[in-house]
Amino acid sequence: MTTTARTPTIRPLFGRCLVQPILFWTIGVLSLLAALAVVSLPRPQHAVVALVILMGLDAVELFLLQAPLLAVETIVVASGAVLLVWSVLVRRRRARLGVPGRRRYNVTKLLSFFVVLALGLVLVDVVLQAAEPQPRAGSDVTMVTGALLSLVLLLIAGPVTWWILRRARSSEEGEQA
Amino acid sequence: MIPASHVLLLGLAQLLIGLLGLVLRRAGLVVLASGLVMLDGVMLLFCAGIARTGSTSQAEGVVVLAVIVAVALVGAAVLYSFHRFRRTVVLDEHDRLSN
Repeated sequence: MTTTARTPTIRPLFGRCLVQPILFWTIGVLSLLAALAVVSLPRPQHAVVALVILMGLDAVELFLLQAPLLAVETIVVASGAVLLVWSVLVRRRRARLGVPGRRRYNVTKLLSFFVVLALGLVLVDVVLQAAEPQPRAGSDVTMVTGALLSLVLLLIAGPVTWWILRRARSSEEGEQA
Repeated sequence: MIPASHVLLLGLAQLLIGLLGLVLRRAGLVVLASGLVMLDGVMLLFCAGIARTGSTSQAEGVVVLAVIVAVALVGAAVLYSFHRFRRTVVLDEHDRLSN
């Protein structure tokens, strides 16, 4: 007798089966846009507002995913904490929050971007493997890929760390001179 | 029905966007907000994990929420103390542990 592997699903709190994924991805895309706004908006004040919007959208997602307790807590507690940050640092205009519209992309940040990209690929691989109901038997390809990626990351991270430390040391020596 | 892998992908995307902000930005408040975006993604990942195990408990998610609140409050306190010393929360200005 053969058993078929069932994909794990989350039973929605309300609504029809067809509507739920559409609603989920609509709010999901909106929350991703809000997350991108948090990261990319030049003014920190706007980033905090985008963060509050993101938390609200995530609360709706959690409600759809049958976790109403987490949804309510997200709205009340997390948004409250963000608003407290707002009231302490932003509203009173005590702090100089940054230089609006000015960004600095240097080599170190470019390298760190690629390291984040590589780590993200490893993470996607791991999460997609975890999402599968049963592991693929007899296939060592992903293990070998993971090991190779880890080796490449180590080989990149070592020289980059050495280069950053050397650069910082030389700039310190230049300042002292 | 929403497949758990979709929730995993959404949480992962939020986690990576937050990680990018953490690495690329230098305004202290935006770095703090990026960390909170990452933790939000982690909460979605926990939610998908809870659904996979078939449990109805939301205890892990509550722990992540507590971490979010702690990060927000402690981060705000650290930024405020940074501001007291240097009159700015731009992280490039804070390159020393002592004043």
